[in-house]
Amino acid sequence: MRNRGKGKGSPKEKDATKSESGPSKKLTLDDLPTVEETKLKETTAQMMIIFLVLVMLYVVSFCLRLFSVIRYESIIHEFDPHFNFRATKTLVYDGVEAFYNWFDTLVWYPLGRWVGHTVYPGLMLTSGAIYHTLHFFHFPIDIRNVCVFIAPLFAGNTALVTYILTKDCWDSGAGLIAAAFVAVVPGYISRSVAGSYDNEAIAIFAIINTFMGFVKSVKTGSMMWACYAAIAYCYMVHAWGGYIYIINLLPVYTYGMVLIGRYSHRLYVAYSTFYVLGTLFSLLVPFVGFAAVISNTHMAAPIVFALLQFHNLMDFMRSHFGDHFGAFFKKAVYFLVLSCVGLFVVALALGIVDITKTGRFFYMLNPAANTIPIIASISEHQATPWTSFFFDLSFLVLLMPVGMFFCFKEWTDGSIFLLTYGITATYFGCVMTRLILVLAPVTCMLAAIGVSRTLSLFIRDSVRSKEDESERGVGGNIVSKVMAIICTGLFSALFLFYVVHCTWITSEAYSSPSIILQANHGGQRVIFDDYREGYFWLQTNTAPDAKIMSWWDYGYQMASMSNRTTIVDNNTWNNSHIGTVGRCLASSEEDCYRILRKLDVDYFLVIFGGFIGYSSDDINKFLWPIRIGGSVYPMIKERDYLSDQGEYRVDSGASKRLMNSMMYKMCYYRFGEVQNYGVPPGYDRVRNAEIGRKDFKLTKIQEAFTTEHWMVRIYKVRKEPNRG
Amino acid sequence: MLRALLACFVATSVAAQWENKNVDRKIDATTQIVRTITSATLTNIGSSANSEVEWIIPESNLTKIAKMVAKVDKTVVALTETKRQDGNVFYKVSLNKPVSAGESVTIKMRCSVGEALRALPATIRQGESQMVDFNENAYFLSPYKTLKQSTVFKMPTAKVESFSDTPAPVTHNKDSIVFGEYRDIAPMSAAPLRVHFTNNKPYIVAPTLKRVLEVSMWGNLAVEEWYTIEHRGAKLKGSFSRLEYGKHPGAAPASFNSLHATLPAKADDIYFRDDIGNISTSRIMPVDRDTKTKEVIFQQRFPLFGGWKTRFYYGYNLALENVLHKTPEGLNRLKVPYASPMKDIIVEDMVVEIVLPEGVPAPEVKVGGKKIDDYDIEIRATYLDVTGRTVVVLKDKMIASPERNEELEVTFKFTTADLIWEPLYLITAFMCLFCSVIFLGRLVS
Repeated sequence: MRNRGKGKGSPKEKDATKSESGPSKKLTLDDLPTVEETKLKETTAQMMIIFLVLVMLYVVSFCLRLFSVIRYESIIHEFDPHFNFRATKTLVYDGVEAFYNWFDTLVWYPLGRWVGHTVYPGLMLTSGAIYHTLHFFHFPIDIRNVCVFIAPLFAGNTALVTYILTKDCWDSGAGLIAAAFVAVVPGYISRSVAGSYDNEAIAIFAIINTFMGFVKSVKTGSMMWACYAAIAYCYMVHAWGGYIYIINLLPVYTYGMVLIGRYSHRLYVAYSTFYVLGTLFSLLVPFVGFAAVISNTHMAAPIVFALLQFHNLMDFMRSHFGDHFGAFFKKAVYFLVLSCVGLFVVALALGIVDITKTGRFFYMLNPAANTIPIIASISEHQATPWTSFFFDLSFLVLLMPVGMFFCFKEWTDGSIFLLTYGITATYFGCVMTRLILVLAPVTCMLAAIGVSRTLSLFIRDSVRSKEDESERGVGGNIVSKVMAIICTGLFSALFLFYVVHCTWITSEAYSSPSIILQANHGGQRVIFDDYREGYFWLQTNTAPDAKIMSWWDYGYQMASMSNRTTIVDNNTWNNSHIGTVGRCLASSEEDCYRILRKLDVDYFLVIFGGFIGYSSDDINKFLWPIRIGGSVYPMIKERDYLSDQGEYRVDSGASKRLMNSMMYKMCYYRFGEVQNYGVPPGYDRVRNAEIGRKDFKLTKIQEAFTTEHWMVRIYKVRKEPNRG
Repeated sequence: MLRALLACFVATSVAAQWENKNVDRKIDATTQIVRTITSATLTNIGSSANSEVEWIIPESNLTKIAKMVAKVDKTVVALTETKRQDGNVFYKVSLNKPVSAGESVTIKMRCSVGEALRALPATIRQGESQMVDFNENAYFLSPYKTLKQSTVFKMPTAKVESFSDTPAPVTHNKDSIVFGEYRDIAPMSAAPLRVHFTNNKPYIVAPTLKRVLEVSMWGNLAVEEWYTIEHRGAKLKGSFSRLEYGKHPGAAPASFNSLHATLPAKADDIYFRDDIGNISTSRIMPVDRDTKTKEVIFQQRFPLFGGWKTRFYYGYNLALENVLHKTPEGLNRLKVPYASPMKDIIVEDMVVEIVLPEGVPAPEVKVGGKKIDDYDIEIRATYLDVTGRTVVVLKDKMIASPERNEELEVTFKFTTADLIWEPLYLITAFMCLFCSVIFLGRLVS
């Protein structure tokens, strides 16, 4: 087995490097110190420092994520977190068993949703565990606060395991820098601020934790660490659908290791143990179930597992029968591989295996293939724009290749792992905006390696030149000293910039709960709390069994804050149901009413921003309901809702169909009478236009409630009068 | 049976002893709570001194009465129910000193009745004013003969739809109507008095209220109150229009959107929330130096129309030295207001929980000077508790504010030495932690 990394660290080469160093020395890449050289020896004092730094990082990563709590309040953010929060409440108040068996009748009326089996329960179980532990010790903490603060808490944990993983892959210096990077990296903060109670909040910790266990196991061949990795993987499977990434990355890494000739028994032990235990554990999650062994998205793992066994068998045979056995096996392998490929093709042709079924997974592999409007309509599923790399990762984007370069130079089990992780994550990060999240930690680790390595080179140079001076007399390495100071200064400046950048982005971009809006009005803070006003009105002033229809974006929030039955929600599992709601919004009042009565809807809710200029309202989203409705009901055509010039507009140039649609009517009902200074009556402040149709009546529905700034408009569906 | 008969006999025998010389009734219906002040001057026409007077309340009013207090010369006299007969409840007013034959006594009865006004019409549109209907006995209901009686009925505005004009004389003057004066009314006589008038005052009813007062002997009293609120006036008919509502103040006269509370001047860290988070619209007015209070306006998330409901809770901290005093016996006495600090609110069901420190034995509880024995005790474990804190639970029905601005007095035993336990737990826990870290550290290196 080759091990280039080890060879470089031999004492002989070390001496050679030393003798070359001097004023005349030119910096070449081969002169870079090796991993073993730069490795910090951990004395007790150093351990103390490392411990202190980690504790401080924990605090920093926690505190940085509290902007939203300080500025607003301890509140659950966005959309999905509201569902998680509601599920957590069910878990905490009704118990684990009730949670797993929970059939939610409040959503997807009249279908309902079997939540217990369509959810990743890790987040809820974690919060529940924290809640019950604290209550056991008589800390009467509110479940909402547990949910709000769990993400910052796990961010600290992530920093901790990042340190350990980088330390295992490189050294503790790089580990500390990586932990510092990851503690404040915006790409990760975006999903882990206080209140952002989403699966990703704990999943990133779970991913890094699994990798940490696996790398430790590969390094040491310890079955215990492989078990640890499998348990961490179990947690990950409970937490987030992104576990698929792990169960594909680890086989790819293992396979790659075998291919480049780094197969070892350590790898064999690590992977075999991990795969068997990990798969058994993932069967425990109802939502995953047998997909863990039969789904094609999981197939890489068993194939590599079989391959490893085969490889091991071959090694064993070879050791007993000598080299001439190899030729025979080669033929056998060719035969096996060919027949496997043949079988797969036959299965594909017969339709036994269907690779198009798991839409989102293959969409990630090949983003160009996507055509489903419901996936495309979600902004976080869009391809990542270039700017967001710098926005979310700052200058780490530039340092990551440096780290990769060093990893390529120092070929170890750990560095190969980081490379595999880094390259694949970069690809996925480019495909989908939300997957920057997976990329962020590895970027931090690779960048940390780059920084640590470069810095240690210069700092060591300046330190060593002191020793050299005593040996060689005066006129030591003044150039390298200056270089070292300049470089260290530059890096310090970069770090400073990084921290400033991260803090600024966190405070500006990622700390808004999105259900409370804030504006500056002549230096005074104005709060627009319309969402909660509307939702709470629904909760207190409608019948407990009232059904409320709205576009699916608000489903989770309504179920959580209004505690009322919704027709569709953010789970988006049933395309035709959502299409029906889209059709309702797009059709005329009479047509809509027929559907409303069939679905037994009592209230219809729209979000309208034209009154105060809130741009992400339903009118601006309207093309998606039309498209999704159109994908289910062909009579709805996007073209009908655009003006003659093909523009989407609401003023007098708007298309007749649009002005007659339910969406238009509900948003602009009596809006034409609103008088504002300096603008004509009925002036929409988002579209910056006077609305085209002002004078119309609603006959089948009536305004039940409109919030203070008109953002939430709720209409009551009139029932038909009794006959006779 | 025997007792009832006896009571009957006593009642009739007493009836002969008194005569209502002059009765003045003031019915104040300017808010949702009808406050009646009846001053009756009675003459002892019997032959011997007497200290018991009969007073009658219609039974239908009984559950709606928020407060009933009788006073003679500004001192409270005791009221005890004696019997119920023909839809009336008979009370016995025990005078402090007997009134000798031929002498007179003036009894001042204050009676506040909630939900006595009925919305008519029962549903109105958003912009319409709310009209209510009030029914009462035109005569002062008494087992004695009344020589002279008059009733003044006061309304919030001069707008009156109709009122009964018999028995004459009835005079309407701006915002008040005077019924009477009537002379020589026979015992137990009744005649309908009806007024149908405009009353847009908020009909705030709290079907439930839970007050939690948590005493921390480290120097803090945490008060938290959980309300459910309902507008019990005329129900909203048709749709709600934000456009109309926002046009000008008073566009929806029958609705309300805020509650006014009078809190102690030293109340700190006031918060105002509901199930889904902060309600950001509240205002704290400057401290009133005379009464040492401050007014807080709790503006709700949305305006409430007839039939609409909402829910919220609020709380504040108060330095303990303002409300807790040592008694000469070395006990601690907590004195706080008993009822809700909200203005003009009717609370149908109130639960007051007083959370006392850990290990306090059952305390002595007084409401408005009256000792209460039938309270519940619960044990609740919160921060750093081992055995749990003593919680006194009081339950009450039909309380109108500010009528019941009585004082709640809780006297309990707690010594300063008991305070050291909790810091001791912490010190021990941290010491164990540090020691184990030191030990493990030594073990590793």
